[in-house]
Amino acid sequence: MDYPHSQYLSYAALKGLSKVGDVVLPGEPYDSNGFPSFSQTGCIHHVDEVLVTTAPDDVKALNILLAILGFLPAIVTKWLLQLSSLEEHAPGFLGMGLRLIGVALRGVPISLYYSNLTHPSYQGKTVYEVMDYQVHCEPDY
Amino acid sequence: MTKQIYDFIIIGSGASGGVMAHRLTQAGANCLMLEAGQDLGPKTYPSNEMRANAQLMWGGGTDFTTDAKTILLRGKVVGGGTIINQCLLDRFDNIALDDWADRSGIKDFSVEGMSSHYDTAESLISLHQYQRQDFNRNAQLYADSFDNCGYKWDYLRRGESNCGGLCDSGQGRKNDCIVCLGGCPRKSKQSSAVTSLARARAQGLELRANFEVDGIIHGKSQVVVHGTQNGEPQVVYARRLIMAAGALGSSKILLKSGMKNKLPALGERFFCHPQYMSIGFMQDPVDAHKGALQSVKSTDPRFRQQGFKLENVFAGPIALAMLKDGFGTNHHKFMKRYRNMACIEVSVRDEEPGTIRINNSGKLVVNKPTDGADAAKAAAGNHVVDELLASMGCYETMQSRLQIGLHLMGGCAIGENASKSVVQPNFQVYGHENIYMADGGIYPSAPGINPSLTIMAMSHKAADSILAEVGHEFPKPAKKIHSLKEVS
Repeated sequence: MDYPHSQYLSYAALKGLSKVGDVVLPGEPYDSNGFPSFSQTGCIHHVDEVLVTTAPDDVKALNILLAILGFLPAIVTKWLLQLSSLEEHAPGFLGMGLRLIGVALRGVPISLYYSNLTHPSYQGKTVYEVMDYQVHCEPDY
Repeated sequence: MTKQIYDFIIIGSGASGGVMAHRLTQAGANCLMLEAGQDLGPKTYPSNEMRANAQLMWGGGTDFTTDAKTILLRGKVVGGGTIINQCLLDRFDNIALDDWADRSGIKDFSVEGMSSHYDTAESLISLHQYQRQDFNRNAQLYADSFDNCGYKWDYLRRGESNCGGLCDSGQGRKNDCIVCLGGCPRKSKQSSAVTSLARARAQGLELRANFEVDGIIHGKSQVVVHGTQNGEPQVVYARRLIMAAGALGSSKILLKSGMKNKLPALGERFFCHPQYMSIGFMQDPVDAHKGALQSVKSTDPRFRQQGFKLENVFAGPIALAMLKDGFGTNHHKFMKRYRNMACIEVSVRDEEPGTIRINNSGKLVVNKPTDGADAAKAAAGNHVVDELLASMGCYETMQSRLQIGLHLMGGCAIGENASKSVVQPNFQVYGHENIYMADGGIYPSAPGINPSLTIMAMSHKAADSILAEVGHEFPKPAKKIHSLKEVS
């Protein structure tokens, strides 16, 4: 896997992001809806565009979380995601913590993936092609 | 080098800042506007949803309340929130304004008292209502389901001037307004950038973009504003200051400037009209993202009485994917059916006030409870939405647990009581006679109606009040109001 050079994420965190991204957004053979996986699209190459406005403290925390998950088996990420979905039933600080885990694990991969941006070498169907999503707005300048 | 002293510095370029800048420069005042975001325009707004989020919103559109239940969206670009909203412009009704009059003690808050200010605000923008034949299918389904269930609805009033007409086939609009959520590339959406601010710039307004204000120092004859522009420390001076950075932005700057001690109500009574989107799946494509994104609203008095309203709405793929919880193949199954989604949103007239604070790093900390009475309002609204989606024939529904706060209000309430308010009835900040404010931060309560037009009307009212007091100081009033054509 070819990882981009990032101003914000370490190599270990990028590895973790790729692993987490593929759990959140899998492709074939793990998915039968025709979507490519997070890592197949190469959208990770645009990660700095997402993180440019993220507060330095949050970037630091994301680096640590992703780097740890990069070393652990994917089942741990799945378990954390499943746990975060129980936030509705968890009280106070526990619920808040679970929601934040969910946002941290899903936010960056979903933003990158559904931006429809890919690595220049990507040849497969784009995410928008699978969704048949097209918008039109003709500039008047 | 002699320091330049402006008549006014205006912090923020959205609905309030644009109107203030227009009225003050028209009167001949020498004004400087500071905006934390970039100076983008129709040719440079990002067309990609991810880039739009990152380049046009604070925190890339990922700022949450402390309990992580509500996402707070606010513009960070020249034009502020008016660049990222759908420009829905309704006047407030007696229910909202009477409540304001009661809470603030200001009798001018009435439909009659605000009428001339609404007239002026509306005279500077183009308004449009889509008729039934122009609806996209999501709006058609919405209107049909309301009719079937016996609820009242009406056409939304949109600020737009030229959305490109109908498709060649005559079915639906040529252009898709969902694009406007990332800035309108047609100069059609009536954001402050193409209306009041464009006029103000033509009248001599100096605008500094990428200028993030750190704090203000208040003196009797002068206000000093310090911050950074493109990472470089800057200090600017004016005789008077207009706070127009929105409920969170203005509150944050005043808090960082150490004013909480003198203004006990600062950062209190924050509201955000928490919004809950529900999706219903239809067998055939709905294409809710095509054409006019929002064109109808609920007007049923029973809903108003219960404290919620319903709008037809939709969102781009990233926003929709974030609203759906879960992951993996189930998530893909949901997103694969994007074109088949019908969507209705509940917007709650919240009554449980939140608080705005800053932490030791100067970062905003917004606490907004939504568990008590407001949860009951949301539940009542979502119950009606379920009924409407069933009436449409949806075979499956999804109600998002994530709440959206786009109408950010309060934190610097206006009122006659100094211990419960931050801003006086003449729009001066208590104890700081040369600082004024008329943005959404001064709202004493949540109106339950889209706030943009009233922010513009209140800013007109505030500018009139300021000019009545100090207008004689400006030697060269602008000769005329520039038309939109002249400034575009």
